[in-house]
Amino acid sequence: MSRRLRAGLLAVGVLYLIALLAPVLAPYDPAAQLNLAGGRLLPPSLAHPLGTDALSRDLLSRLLFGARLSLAIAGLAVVVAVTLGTAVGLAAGLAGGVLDGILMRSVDAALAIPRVFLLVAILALWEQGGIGALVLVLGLTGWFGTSRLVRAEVLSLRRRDFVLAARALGLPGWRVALRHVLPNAVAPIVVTATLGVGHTILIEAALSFLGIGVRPPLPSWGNMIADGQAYLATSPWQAMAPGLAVVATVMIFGVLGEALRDTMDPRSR
Amino acid sequence: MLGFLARRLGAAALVAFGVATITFFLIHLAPGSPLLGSGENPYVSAEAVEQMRRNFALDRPLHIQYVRYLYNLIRGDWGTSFTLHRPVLDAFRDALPNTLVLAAAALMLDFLLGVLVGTVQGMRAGSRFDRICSVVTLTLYSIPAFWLGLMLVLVFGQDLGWLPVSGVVDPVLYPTRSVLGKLFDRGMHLILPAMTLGLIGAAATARYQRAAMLEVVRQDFIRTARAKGLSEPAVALHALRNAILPTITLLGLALPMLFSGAVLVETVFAWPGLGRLAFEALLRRDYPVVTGAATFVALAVVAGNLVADVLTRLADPRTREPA
Amino acid sequence: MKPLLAVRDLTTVFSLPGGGVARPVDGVSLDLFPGETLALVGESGSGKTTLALSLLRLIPEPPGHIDPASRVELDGTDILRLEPLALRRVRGGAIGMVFQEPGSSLNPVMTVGAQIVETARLHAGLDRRAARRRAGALLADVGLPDTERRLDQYPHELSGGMQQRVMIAMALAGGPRVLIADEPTTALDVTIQLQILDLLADLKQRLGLAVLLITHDLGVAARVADRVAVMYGGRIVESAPAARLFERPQHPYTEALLRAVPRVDRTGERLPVVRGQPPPATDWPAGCRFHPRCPHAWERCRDAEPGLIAFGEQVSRCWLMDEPGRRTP
Repeated sequence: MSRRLRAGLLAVGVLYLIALLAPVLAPYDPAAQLNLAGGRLLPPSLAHPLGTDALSRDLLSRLLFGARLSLAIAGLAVVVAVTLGTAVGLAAGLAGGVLDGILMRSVDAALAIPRVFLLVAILALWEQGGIGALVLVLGLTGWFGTSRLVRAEVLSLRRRDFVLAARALGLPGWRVALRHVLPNAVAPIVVTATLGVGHTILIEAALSFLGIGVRPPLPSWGNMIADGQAYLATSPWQAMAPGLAVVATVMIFGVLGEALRDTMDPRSR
Repeated sequence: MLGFLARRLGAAALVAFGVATITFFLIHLAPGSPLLGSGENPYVSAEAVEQMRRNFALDRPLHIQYVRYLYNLIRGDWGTSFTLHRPVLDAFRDALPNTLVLAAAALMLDFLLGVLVGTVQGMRAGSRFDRICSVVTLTLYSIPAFWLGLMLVLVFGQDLGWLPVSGVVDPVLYPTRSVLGKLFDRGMHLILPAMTLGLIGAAATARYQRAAMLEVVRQDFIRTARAKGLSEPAVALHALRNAILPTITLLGLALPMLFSGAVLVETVFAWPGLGRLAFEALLRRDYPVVTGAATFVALAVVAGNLVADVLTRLADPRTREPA
Repeated sequence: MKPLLAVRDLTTVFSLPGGGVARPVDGVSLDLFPGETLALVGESGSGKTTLALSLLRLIPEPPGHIDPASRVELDGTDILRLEPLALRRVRGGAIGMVFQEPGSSLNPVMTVGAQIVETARLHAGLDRRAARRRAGALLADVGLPDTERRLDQYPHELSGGMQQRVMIAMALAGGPRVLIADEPTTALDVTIQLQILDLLADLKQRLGLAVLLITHDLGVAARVADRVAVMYGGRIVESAPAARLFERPQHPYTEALLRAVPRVDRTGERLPVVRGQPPPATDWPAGCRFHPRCPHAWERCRDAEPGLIAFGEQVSRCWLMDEPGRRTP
């Protein structure tokens, strides 16, 4: 296992561990307004390693809970997207013919629309959505690329002998798909999923920044940056810390994704 | 080429028609739409609802409304904004140039810097330069655009005070300046927002271009170029002419993507462009503006694809119809 | 007469990812005289292409590496010691090269004319118009009339044979004295092959070139070669004037190659094969490199590697030249 792969897996593991343990690691309740009188916008100190915000909430705690939320949302959304994309890609690739044509034309049309625009439109109008809606919409808008990828893999695997053999034995289509074709197509799916988590975190941060992703008072890195925007002059760390968290996290997923790609697909070297 | 263009323009018109139709039905059927007369919409005043009813001729049957709607669209009557109290197209006419200028500047930075770095990386794969650039591009690519904007504002606007951080022009001094001064003012205001979008775009382009170069450099005709005695820069040019093709396609598709990035950057920099306009309209349920923006984005997408296609045909002789 | 191109002890080494080292070209020496075609014959994978690329230093520097003891002298000047600028003048200028796959060896996004003109301008110092005229003349020379139209065509618009003619024209654009052709006909149809070979012979005659023709096909060698050198185990194992080699091969490997050529007049027989496999370039056998597969081998062959032993104009790297009595019938 290459060093990069090992490092990437370790880093992601640590990230999710932190996210999981946020309630334990956070020194304060992220929603608690600790001291409205004198505790607002405090600079970093021993008591508050990242300072406090305008409502005297501890920023480190908010950051940790924000990690929890962002990683959970991104993870779930990617699961939804990959599942959907794989299913559609398998169906289109194995069925062929008219179904394939219809599905792929729709995917092409959908890919042409900028995803952010679509998300903004839907979420701005769907106010009552909440986190569930966010995950759903992220997932439903993120599967198109995966379906194209899976379909391409399926098409190339279809002609291989072991698939022909399975079909000749009379195995039903879905069984051939699940037990014979899919295991061989796993590699690019895993790579796409990993890189997808990074992208989703960026998009969720943007949506939260605009106020239509994770809405206050729930902390998300995106809306923390929005909060910090007003105080950029006096308390810059408010906006800096969550931003750095996003950058670091997305980079980690990026490195892991590329390490996976190099490992699983030596052709791409 | 002409026949090809004609066919594509025809297809584009069809798509625009399709989008207008879909938008129409969404507006009329989407829950929470004031047109359904379910009352209680806090964003839209009673007069506005009345105006919309009149504009959309809601008392008439649906198909008549549809025809009326299309007719208005083509005539240039895209409705009147609730919140701005002006015709939608007017508002667009003011906002669009700002977004276009920003997009153009960002695209130039993106393309020029990205192709340059990606090409050199590709020719010198494995070198220290390559590795450093890879880290830099990965980092940039992981930065949220709006946060980068804020950080640039922090460093260049506040701490160093070199560059202005909001708006298109200086609200106080601009009218008093000479022509050159006005241009300079606009330019200065453009730098930070364009850099924000452009740098991140350049990082993505560099990664893409590097991969394309690596593919090309492995090929036989590069060996031939060296065997002919060409210098390394000349060989790089041979490679580049091939490697640039996928990037050109990317360029055409970048147009619609820039509009999305524009929403965020325009918010951070208070840039009065189409992205910000559309977003605020969305929040305030200003439907005429929203539908206008949707139509517009769809047109931009189609235009982007068309541009990418045309550019590819020009650049890659293999895609042209036989002479 | 002095050779135009003199190769001495050329050794090219590759470092492998696993850690080992391969020596596909291991001490090759040969001479190329003006006005003659030397055919370098060997199986696929015998290092022939590596040899050709090494002559112009086109081997990628990691992982490849030309041993400093090697010498490649063009008219007295060692190419391997040249500065980059001087090397570039030799490439395409004094020595032209034609590759195996013309389809992928031409830049797909440049016109054929542009690619030939580029070489002409670089090496002959011509201005654009003169270079275009020269390109047109070259195309006519290689058998592609209608030059004005051709010059503006793209490689994908031409057939394989035409593409190869273009490559030849491009290789000649710099006015070289040596032409290296690496399997120029392998990727082409048989009928086209003959045309290209005849073209090469004709050009050699008219322009007084020295041609190094690399091929695995003995038929090709028989058709155009003045002299033939056979490569095996990273070395030259036999070299002789063409007629001599085909009539009376001395080295057992050459004999086996010739016997394995299918003959139209003898059908229904099993083709005699050379038993065993060619050894890997990472692990040449001790002693004579062919001895594990040779029907005549004896202890001496295992113990010591023969040098090139001469017999008239023919040389063979085989102890049988010393002890002809050991040859088993």
